[in-house]
Amino acid sequence: MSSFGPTELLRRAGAFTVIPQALARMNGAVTLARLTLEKAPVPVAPSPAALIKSEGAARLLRYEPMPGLPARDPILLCPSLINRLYVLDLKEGISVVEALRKAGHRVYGIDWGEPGAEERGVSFEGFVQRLSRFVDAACSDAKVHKLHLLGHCLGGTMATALAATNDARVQTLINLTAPLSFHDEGLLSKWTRAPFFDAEAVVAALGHVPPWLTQPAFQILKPMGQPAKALRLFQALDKPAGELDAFLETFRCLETWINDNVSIPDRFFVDLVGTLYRKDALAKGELSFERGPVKLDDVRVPVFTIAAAEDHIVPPASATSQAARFTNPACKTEVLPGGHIGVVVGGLGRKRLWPALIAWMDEHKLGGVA
Amino acid sequence: MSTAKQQPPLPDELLDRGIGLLEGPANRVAERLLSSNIVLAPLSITMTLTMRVAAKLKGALPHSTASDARRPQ
Repeated sequence: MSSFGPTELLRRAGAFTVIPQALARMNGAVTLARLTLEKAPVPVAPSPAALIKSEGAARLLRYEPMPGLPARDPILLCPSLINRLYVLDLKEGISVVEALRKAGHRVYGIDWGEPGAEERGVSFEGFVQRLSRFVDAACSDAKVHKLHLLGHCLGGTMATALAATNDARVQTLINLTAPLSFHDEGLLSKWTRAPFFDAEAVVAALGHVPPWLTQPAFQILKPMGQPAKALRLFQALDKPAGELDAFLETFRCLETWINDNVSIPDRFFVDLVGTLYRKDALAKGELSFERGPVKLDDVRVPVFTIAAAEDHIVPPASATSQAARFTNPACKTEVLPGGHIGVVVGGLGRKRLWPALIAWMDEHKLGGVA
Repeated sequence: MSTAKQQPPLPDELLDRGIGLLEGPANRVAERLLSSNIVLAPLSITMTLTMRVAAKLKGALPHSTASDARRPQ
């Protein structure tokens, strides 16, 4: 057979591709290095926004509505306290905010900011109360009584705690890869529950827990993730010129966000590790605020629970196992393909997540507004 | 067309398999190691002791007093 001829053997050995590929990858690597060294601007967070309210380091933003579209329900995006909001508005074409605005939704977002003096000693409950005040401010700005509340990651945990204790302003809750049960098989759960680990000692030494401590920990959650990422980057650098530019832009946007972490507020960290992770207090119904217990069974609004199948930070079971306790019959759960961030910014996110969010809000419109 | 012609060049295939190996079996082994108490206990003891020493050296421990007084805000 001709497949075993010398030409085929040379092709299989890579003789015809190895040099052009090496040259293309070298070009790609040089371009990436040049852009990085030149500190070329990274087009993250492209959606224009106005400041509505600020409290301590946190800011409530209103994204400009797209002109000429019929107005749909307002939605407030509540990201994790330890990440920047713009993962939901990464770049043009890869932005949940943009997709929602293009659908006509009025979009609000909370940027929790780098905690400072005003965040010292503020507990998990304190941040849920702050979220509640931002919900009030967004409702008042949008001139509605209720809005859809989307909580991403720990933002979803906070949003759920709010819905369980005071859902007066919440039309529906959308939990996007939000941990509700903290005793899972993930490394993060095991590390925070490690014997002798003392969150109080960390806070006593460092105050707000800085990214130089948390970021390496998050990176090691997927122990071989960094070398695998380097190889994937190497593999992708031989793209043709036009494709390479788009790929490098997305890569740099994502890396900018990944490396742009904020500190975890001191008391929030102690509550997160001690109460949520070690005691699993939210799932067990043992979490208590000043106004009373926080019980998942008390969440009465429709909840859309979304988990990512390959999520190594919030394993699917952590996000979905408690969803059956929500009492509203309209609640629904979906497990989408992808990882913790991939489900938001990956290609599948665009194909499945964004339309699912818009369809959910259409199903549960505010009466007389949309 | 033979099936051999559809196979990618060997260097590409090796790269693919290398990535698969890292993300699959190698990652699982490392995860198992990093989640065992034999590894976690000494690491967390070291971290906790280091943090306590750092807090002592820092002196006033402003945050530990702040953490005593919860501020639900």
